Amino acid sequence: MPNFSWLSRRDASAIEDAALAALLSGTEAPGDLPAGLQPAADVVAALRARPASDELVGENVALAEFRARVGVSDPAGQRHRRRPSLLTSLASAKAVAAAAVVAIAVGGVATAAYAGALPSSAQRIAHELIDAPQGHKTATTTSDTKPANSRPHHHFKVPALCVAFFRAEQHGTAAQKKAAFEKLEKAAGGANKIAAYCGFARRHRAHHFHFRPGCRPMAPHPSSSASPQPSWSPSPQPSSSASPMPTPAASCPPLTHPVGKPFPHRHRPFPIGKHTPHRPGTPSRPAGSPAK
Amino acid sequence: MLSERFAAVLSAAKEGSEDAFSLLFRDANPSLLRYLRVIAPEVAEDVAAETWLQVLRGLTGFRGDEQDWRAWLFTISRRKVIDDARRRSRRPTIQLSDVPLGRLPLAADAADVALEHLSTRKAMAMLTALPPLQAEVILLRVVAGLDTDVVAKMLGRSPGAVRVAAHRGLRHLAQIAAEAGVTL
Repeated sequence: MPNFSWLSRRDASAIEDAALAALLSGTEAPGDLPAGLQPAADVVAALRARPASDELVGENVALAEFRARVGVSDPAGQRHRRRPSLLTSLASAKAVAAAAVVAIAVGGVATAAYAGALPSSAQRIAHELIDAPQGHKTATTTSDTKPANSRPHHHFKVPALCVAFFRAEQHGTAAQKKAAFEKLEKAAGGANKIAAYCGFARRHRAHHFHFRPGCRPMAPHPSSSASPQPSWSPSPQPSSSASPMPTPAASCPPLTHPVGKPFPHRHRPFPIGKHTPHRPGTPSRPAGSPAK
Repeated sequence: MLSERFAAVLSAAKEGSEDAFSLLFRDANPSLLRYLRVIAPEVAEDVAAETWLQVLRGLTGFRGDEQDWRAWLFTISRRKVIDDARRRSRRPTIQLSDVPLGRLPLAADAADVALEHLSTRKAMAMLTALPPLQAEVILLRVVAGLDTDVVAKMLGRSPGAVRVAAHRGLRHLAQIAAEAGVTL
């Protein structure tokens, strides 16, 4: 005699499985589920609920990154999507702002006070930024070796909020860092404008800074170029149309691919590349991404 | 999900349209964060930001449909979580299933959370009571919207194992929700 109770259990289970499969794929009809499983449908519905505002956090940073990497065209119409930039090497707008402030602080007149306090990674960033166009001057010798009128950019006054943010980043608590960043973000008019606000972006664009260990672009000679010096006039807006890229110095071979070395910055939360090898242009598809 | 709009939006984003990229972000980031806030609550926002950076590095070379796109994003996030856990523990190898799920505070920041979002938070908190594999499978199926086969390949399991884990997880969730008498 057949075991009907066993069959019915199996049938019940099969019905449940079909209902659960429909629930998982979002194709279930209301009332499909046995009553006992209804709470699961409620949980699934809650997991699929419309996004909340705090789930769009990071959009400004991502958009700024998008502009720097994909959305920016030079006057000749060539995309810079493959051009590595310092901006794109940093993990967040906070890191961009920190680097910007470090750069300005070390390069400007207000530098000496901060130079000694930088952690080694930030110091390296600063030297990358400052040394590249100016030879190997240290902060304390800026403005001394050339007539003042040839280096107007060194008198760029760092906005106080940038300095405050820098201080908080170096010495502050998490709450202080957050507060300083938010003030700076507000003053700059958005996270993506912080670098420009702090006077970093224009210099960055003008000098084609790439973080390439062992390779420094040489300074354009003051007499050989129409506008050899970067503009350091404080500008709240990035002038994306200005400053076409100068030809990279001969000592630096042209880059054809982004630098793979992780940027040595303490804000970078994860070492990328070690365990997840990834080359631009060949997205690391999931191992089993279906060939469709 | 962008569904039939996906191909056009992706193509526009690759051509440099900021609006298109914004759509991609707004479509996927909430799902990414829901996934990450369960499996790695302490670093969820950082991992999401890092994921977008990596996506942008490869965006122009990406080929695929919306399933592939989502699978790509979640795979990047998942690897970053594993890398982070590995870095923290300094152990040579670690499975995500070895990483204890974080406890989600239910109401710690309730004042900041929109009302309609509370139910999502509660549901996410319930997931943390499940065995890690079940929780992750449900997240990848329900929140990420990935097919069983894709999830199986991401997790290195058989489709059958993924299906079983998902169904057990849902039955488990139904029990938890019923016992807690939670109104979502």
